[in-house]
Amino acid sequence: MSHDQAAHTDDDHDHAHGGLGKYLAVGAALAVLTGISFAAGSSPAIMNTPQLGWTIMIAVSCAKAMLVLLFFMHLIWEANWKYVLTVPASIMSLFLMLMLVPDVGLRTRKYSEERLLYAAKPAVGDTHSPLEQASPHPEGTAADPQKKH
Amino acid sequence: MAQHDSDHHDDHGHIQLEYQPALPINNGKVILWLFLSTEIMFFAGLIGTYIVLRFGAPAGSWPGPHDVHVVEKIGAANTFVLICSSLSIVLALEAARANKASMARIWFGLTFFLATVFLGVKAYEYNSKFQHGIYPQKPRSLIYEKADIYYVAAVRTQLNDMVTRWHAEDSELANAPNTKQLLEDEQKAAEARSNELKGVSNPSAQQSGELDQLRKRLPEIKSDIRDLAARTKVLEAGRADRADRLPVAERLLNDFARWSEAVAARTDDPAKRQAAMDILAYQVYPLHRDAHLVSEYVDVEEVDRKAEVAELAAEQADLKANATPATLEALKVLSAAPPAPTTDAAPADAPPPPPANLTPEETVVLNRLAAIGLRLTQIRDREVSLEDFFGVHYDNAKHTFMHGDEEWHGLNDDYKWLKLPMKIPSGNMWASTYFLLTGFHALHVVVGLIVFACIMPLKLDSSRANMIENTGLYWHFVDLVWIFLFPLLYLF
Repeated sequence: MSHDQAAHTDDDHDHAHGGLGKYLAVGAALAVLTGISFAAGSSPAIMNTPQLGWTIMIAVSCAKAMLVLLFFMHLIWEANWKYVLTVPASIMSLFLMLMLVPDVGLRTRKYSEERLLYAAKPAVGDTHSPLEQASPHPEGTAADPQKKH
Repeated sequence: MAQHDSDHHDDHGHIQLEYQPALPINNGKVILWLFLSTEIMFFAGLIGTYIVLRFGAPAGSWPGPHDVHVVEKIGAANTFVLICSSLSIVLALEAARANKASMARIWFGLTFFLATVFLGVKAYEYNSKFQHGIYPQKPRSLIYEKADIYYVAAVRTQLNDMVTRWHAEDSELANAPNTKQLLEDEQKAAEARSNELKGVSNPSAQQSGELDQLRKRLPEIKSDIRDLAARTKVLEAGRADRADRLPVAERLLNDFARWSEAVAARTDDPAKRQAAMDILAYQVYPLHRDAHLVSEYVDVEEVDRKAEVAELAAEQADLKANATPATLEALKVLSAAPPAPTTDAAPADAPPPPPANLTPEETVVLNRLAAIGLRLTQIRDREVSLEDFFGVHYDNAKHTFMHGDEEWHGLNDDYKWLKLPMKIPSGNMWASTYFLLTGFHALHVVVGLIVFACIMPLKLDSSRANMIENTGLYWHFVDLVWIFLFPLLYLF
């Protein structure tokens, strides 16, 4: 009998929630947010301070994710069990990412000179690595007349 | 939702147990949400690793989207396609709940179609990367992390292999008529001899042996002639391409790869050594951030070349003024000789023997004059080749390199057949993570397609609403993953 009640509960929710208008509105919002994210990522003005651009784009992604989760996946109309299933997984995901930062994320911070030799070489002038300082920029030697090689 | 009616109190003291569902949703939904939690962890691992690798790469060394042929517009279009498919599948659910089975099927069909559009666009993007030599792994990947001596040697080796192989094919083609003639002569002789031997009534052992050998040999000759014809056809088909490509490859081999390698190996200044290698990498596949290397090093090299030319010309004039007529005559003869071959197969370090009538001192002078002449030719060839490629400048408005009025994207782009190794710092790591992330996401899309294909033939009325809802939940999750992948891969 309670099984019927469970089914009855579902039906109740269905009639009261959802609806074409809401879904279309959410779909339009998603498209607009995608446009904002694309514009932010492609605009040189915003990406001149990359951190600003990244923050905008991650915020937009989180907003889009919440819209999909709440409306398309119906979580806004579900009971508290949704927290039990989603929150621990999200916490663990975030924790996983944070725990990788001091390990692999900062791997080049304390590289020795020899190790840096084999790392991918950045553009000239973009790092303060001792290797860069040891090999001066060609600009510095242009003044010297070069003897034949 | 337990009922706390006092009616259920039993006078005998039994407690009436009632079935209480743990969650007010059907089992399928519980299972699917548990599965989605695992999927969250799965993609969190992949995306988290990408974030950490990307921001932990040496500062300034992660490839930008333009460096690796990632087009943001296409990614945005794909995002929009997936959003529409999410919308259509939720509308399918609404239709099913309202018992409109045919509408539900139509919405499902639209979702299926949009998913295939997504996969098609992805396939197009993957193809464009493969065309430019960007693969997730060596040996197909042409990506080198930095322009060092290994990179320059790889470029020179590839060009040399091309040139050697094409020269060999050209000479094989030129020799083919001779080879054919030889085979046909042998065939005629063998047939004549075997007819002669067959006519002998009492053949000796030696004659029988000879006839057996001829019998074995004749079919071999026939198949050799056939193979030669097929090979000649193949070589003939490639002749036009070889004629176009050989001069370009030879010029690149001598004036770019070998020149850079020589500078990198012999110059005293370590900065110039590195700059020479960086310039070669830049010519093959330019990166926006290395644009300043072009103008700086080109000016420096020009100064060096001019100084060297002046010095050599002075020495040449001095030697010629003091040289004996016999020496000058011998020099004329040497200069008229055909140029040495360009490939490593026959190095040009063995000069032809000097005429016998020269004294040892005259021979030394002659050799020195010949060496000066060769070096001056090398420098002149380098300058001529550079003129073609270093009319390049970066146009800030158009965000691309221009050669005169046209856009320039490097040698690998000018000559699609070149496929030379290219330098993209952190490129291999980028390629690995990009293909892994998008590949796994695409696999999830394919699984979704299979599920749609299984569901669409069924009657999608309200009794199947739960199944459709669960399918929808999976599909929305796939969309969610892409919502995060798009900015991370395309816009960061």
